[in-house]
Amino acid sequence: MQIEQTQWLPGTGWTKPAVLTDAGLVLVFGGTDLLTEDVLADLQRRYPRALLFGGSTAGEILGAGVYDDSIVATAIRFADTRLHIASQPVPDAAASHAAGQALAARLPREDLAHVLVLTTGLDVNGTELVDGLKSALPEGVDLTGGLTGDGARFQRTLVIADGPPVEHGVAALGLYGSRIRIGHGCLGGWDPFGPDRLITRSRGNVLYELDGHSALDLYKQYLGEHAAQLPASALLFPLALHREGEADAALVRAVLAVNEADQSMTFAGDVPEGQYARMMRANFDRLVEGASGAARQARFGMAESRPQLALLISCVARKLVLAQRIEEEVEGVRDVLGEETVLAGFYSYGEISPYTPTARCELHNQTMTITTLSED
Amino acid sequence: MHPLLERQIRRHLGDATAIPEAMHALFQAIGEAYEHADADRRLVEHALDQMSRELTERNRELQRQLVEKQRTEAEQAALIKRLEEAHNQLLQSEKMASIGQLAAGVAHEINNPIGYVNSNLASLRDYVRQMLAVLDAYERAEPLLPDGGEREDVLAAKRAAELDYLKADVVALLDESSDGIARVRRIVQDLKDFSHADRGEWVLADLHKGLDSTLNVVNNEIKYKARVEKLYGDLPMVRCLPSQLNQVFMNLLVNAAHAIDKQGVITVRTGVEGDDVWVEVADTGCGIPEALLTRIFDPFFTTKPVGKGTGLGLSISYGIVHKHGGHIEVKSEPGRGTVFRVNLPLHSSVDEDADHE
Repeated sequence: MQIEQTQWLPGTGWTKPAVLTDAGLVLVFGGTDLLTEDVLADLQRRYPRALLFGGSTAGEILGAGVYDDSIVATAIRFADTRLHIASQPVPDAAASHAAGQALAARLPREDLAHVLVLTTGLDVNGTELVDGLKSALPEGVDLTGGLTGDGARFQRTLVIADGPPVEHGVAALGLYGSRIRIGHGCLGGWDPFGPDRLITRSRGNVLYELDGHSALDLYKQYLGEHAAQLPASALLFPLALHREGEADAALVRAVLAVNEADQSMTFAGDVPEGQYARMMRANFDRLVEGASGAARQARFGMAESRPQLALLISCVARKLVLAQRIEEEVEGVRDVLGEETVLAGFYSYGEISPYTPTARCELHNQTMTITTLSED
Repeated sequence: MHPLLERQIRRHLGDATAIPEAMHALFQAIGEAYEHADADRRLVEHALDQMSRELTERNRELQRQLVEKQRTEAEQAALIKRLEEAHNQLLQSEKMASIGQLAAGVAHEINNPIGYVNSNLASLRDYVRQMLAVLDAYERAEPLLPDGGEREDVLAAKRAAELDYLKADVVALLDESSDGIARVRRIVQDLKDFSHADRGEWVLADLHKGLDSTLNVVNNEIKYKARVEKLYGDLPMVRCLPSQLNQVFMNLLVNAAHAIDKQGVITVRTGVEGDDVWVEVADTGCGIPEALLTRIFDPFFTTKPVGKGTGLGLSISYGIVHKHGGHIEVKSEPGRGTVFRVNLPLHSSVDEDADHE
């Protein structure tokens, strides 16, 4: 496996010439407005044989650096691993499950080793999408990926599946062969605080009431002056969901949108009625530790192989909280994986990964999710 | 620029203009980091404040719920207790009703033979009186008989029969029998009175009459233990359920007798005080220890040996008196005796209809 990375900056263009011109895959992550058809056509000319796979971000990861308003391209030439790309439109959140199933059905099953999935981050129910995908993928094939982002704007998200950027869709990249090695890890680093609240009214991933009161009002109360920056500021207080008596098996949910008209909040995944929700807040040290922990999990999953590439998909909320210190979490990952592992990735509106190497695949929020790859 | 950074620059560099052009971006980043940290701190402080307010509110709510729950539980407990008492009372009145019915039946059956025995006795007394008159006439004619022979025979027969004694005793026997019959009739009447002359009807009744018939019914329990002293005052008629009050009097009298170990006195007093009438049953028995005084009205509480008392008597009495709008007081001195006093209002305000059970 050979890898090279380059970056496109406004006014500057691509910072490096293309050398690995016979690369089979280019992972491309960039600011929403920058991912124009022209830029992508230009990128395709530089890597004529490559499949382009990527999307819009809330920040790009290149090495140990984190950037805004750039495009990061990571070109990969696999020695043996074959690739198959598929995409599927998702007109609205209700179509998420069906879209996941349809997408998985498009991927040939034979020799399928792993699936990377990217979906537009708004108007998609990530939980349903992942369930749909899992239901149609062969047993034992893992799924990692994320929801693409749009800075802290939450207006327009894109996916790229070897074609022009798509605004309401999901893309999957199948990795085939026996020499590819995959590891993955996923950790949060948020601490729950305050009381457990019963979800008394919700529909799918739309939350209306907690303990019989407007959830949006509650967020506004807690956000104080930050309420003006909704929905982005709601990411500062994600929800830990758990069933009654199962507080240890909490799943984190991040806010994607708010609707003042019907006082609702849309989350990146299901917020089922009858479950309990607890607000969470950031803990700087634990966020950075969480990223390192995710790297350790991913590395552990690789057994003897040293990861050559690490795809980092980290939640936009972490970036909002850590701000100028955001690179500390990427540095934490690099410290675990070593200088020789190429780091690429983006800040997302949701992460997809099994929580641990053996657990079932879930949609996560507010985590650092890492997929490590190498070829024997 | 963040005020802290501004101060720091003033202190360490003298003037913001002293910052070299190349460092402007750095200072701006430092300023932004300060502002971000400030915003973060304000958010945490605000959230902490909100949470503390919310938790305090929830805590209050929980406390309120707890108090409410305790109140409901106490109400439930009271309700259960009342239900239990009502149940026991029902059981007891069922029992009393059957006994009453039985007694009334027996009384009715006895009444009939007693009636004709009584009337026969009256006729018999008349016949005997006449026969004695005839006999007297014969005796007066006795000296007319010649000596020896017939006369000796008559005299011998009179001696053998102890005729003088017979003549005196036959009258005494008839008097005693009449007394006996009268007593049986009174007992039968008392039984009828005691049992269910009223059948749960509220009537104006003479409590003294009730006390007397009850004393007669329980006479057997009392007579070997105690002498009964009746100190009745002047009582007006009282609106009540007489058979139920009789039950109260019976319980108090039997308890009094049981409290007396060998020989004692049971004093029954009555009187009027203000708007109440009262009936006191005092005994010279063993008394009740103070610790138990609060429990004696509890259902199933008894100090009597197993099988001797149900522990229901006083609780039922309490219930009955309560139903009449009255109350029972008890004073006791261990070793000296106990006084139970039943107070009943003369002008009862209880809803009589509600108590037709």
